[in-house]
Amino acid sequence: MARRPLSPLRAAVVVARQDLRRRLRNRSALVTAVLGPLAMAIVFGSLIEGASGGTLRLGVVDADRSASSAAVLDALVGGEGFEDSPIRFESVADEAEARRRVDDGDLGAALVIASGFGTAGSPGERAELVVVRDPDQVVSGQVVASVAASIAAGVERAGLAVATAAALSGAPPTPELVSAAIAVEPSLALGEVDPGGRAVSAAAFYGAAMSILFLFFTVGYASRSVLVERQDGTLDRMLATPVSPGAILAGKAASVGVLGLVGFVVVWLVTSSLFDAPWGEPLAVVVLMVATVFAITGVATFAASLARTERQADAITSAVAFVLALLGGNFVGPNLPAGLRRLSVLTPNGWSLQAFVDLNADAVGLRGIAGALVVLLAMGVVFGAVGVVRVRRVMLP
Amino acid sequence: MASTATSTATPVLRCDGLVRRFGERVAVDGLSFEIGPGETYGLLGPNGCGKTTTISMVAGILRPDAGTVTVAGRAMTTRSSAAKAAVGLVPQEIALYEDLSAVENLRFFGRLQGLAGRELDRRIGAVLDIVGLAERSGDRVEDYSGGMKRRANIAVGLLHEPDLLILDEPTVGVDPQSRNQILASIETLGGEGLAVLYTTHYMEEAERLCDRVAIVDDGRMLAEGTRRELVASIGSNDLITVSTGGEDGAAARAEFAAASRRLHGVDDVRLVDHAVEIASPDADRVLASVVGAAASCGVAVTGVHVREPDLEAVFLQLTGKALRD
Repeated sequence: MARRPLSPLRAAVVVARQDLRRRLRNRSALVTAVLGPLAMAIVFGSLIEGASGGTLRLGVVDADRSASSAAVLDALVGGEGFEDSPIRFESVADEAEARRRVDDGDLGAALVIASGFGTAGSPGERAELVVVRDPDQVVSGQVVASVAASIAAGVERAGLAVATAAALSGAPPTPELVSAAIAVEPSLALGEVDPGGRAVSAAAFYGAAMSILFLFFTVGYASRSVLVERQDGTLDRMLATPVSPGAILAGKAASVGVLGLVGFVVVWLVTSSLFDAPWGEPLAVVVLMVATVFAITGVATFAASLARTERQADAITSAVAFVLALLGGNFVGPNLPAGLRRLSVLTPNGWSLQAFVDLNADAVGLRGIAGALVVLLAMGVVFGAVGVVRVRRVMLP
Repeated sequence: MASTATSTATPVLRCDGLVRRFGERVAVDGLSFEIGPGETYGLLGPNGCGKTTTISMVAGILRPDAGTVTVAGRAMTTRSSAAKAAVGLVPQEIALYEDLSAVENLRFFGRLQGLAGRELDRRIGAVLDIVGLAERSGDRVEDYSGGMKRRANIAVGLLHEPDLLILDEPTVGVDPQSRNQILASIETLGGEGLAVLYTTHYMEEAERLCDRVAIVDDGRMLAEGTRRELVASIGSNDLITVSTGGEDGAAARAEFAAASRRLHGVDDVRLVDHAVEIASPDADRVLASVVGAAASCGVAVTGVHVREPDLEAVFLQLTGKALRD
């Protein structure tokens, strides 16, 4: 009986719905697309940045107890200069407690204003600032070190001011003059703090990083399923219908794309609500997610097209996922070493992560990540096209 | 057996000079045949002889290196949606999603065939009735027996009412009861006017179902015709075995054998234990004379068995090897 064949679009939708139904039914998709990246993001986020998720919890100890040190303490605890950043200082009783809390992961790092800080502006006196850090809390350590350097520079400038005032008046500097000079400087200096790299919400960064890592496995399923269905005979049965091979492939790609995108969005929503993680402008985040899913789908399709069996496809997809994740900085953090930064531009995940960092740390918006979007789309097109040609050869020998 | 195709009818399937190579190996070597409406056509040959490769080309999922396939007047290619819509494929393996029910499988493949809504529901109900799975249609395929899976596999091929049904070894690994049910369904379908291309390496299935049979080996067609034509082509005799009773009937048996040799239409006679085997080109014509000779010689006949030469014998004659090799 002659019937009108389905349009390629309609056929792709039928195939996509079928694949989605089967993957959701056996729950593997939930683990790969949602639970896996979510769990990894939470674990990484918590481990890297202490218990408070998106904020950097830092300590400050006033061991000097002078007017100058009190002024510094007040400025830091009051958040002066950090109003729009995730950096939060809190007062800690002494250095021993600070060390204990950093070791426990309760604080990312701590600054100790040592005894004698109040007279450091006097000629011949030096300000001593101690940074207590945990080697694993890289960003927190960088922030506190930078704050310390900034305060030290302020004290030096205060010393110059005191010396100049003394020279002009012809009288030796009084302790009141020194304290007054130092008390003024830190607040000026805090506004110029350079955290030693961009301070990015760990939960947001690792949410994106782990979502991208798991994307390889989620979307790699499309090409892998072609091999599985070829073996099971269902592919031949589909190819014997009036539906084009391209529509079948498009349907499979669409199903994994939707799944990958849903997983990405869930991780975004959960980390945003649980950890108060600021991912950036929502529209830009969504567009970047779509572009990332497209690019990773292309790369994963190409990778899986190199395989001839299901087992080979699994091995190749895993190898490609982890190598690209290492090169792209998914496991390293937002501030990549120079060498890795150069390598990361060769990977779609590197481009994507950098764009997520830009959205998160610099609030650049859609226009600010336009370059990354173009690169991601180009990678998706090139790798995807080669992959599709290769997979079609498997489908129709 | 289904109704015989008329030579004047427009063929539903025409294969002309099909060739397919895999590297150096020629899997199908110049195969040509036609199937008319309502005709069941068998491709009979051992495993690996090129049957499945031929079917893949007929179904448009494998490109031939040479030759053409025409289904219902339309050229079949890997991109020909019109020709593919006229074909129902039942692959040799169970090509179903085992984690879905029979109905879910039927719904999916039906949609790919362009069926929707009430028409899809109607056809699903109809094919489930044909294969006898209506009561278990909501169960997952993985919970079916081997025979039920085979029947569900066939249901998918019938769903869109194709002009040509291709069945690739549909009874492999099936219990006798399911096998009989499957064969009966195919006989019914052939009787209703559906053209069927049936591959098998079971001689008895080809003899039961097929109006015409092509004997295939090493990708080449060795012979083609009805069972009778094929058997006649190799000139084999029918064999009448007359069993006799009693230890003391040796003399009577010898006399019976000698009398049988003198009968017109008997080519050869042999004494085998308590039986006499009589070879004849046409057992039906000489059977009455043989029984009469036995009675006149005083032989106590305990049984008469007539065996006509079968396709197995034809295959053996043509290839020098048994069909199941």
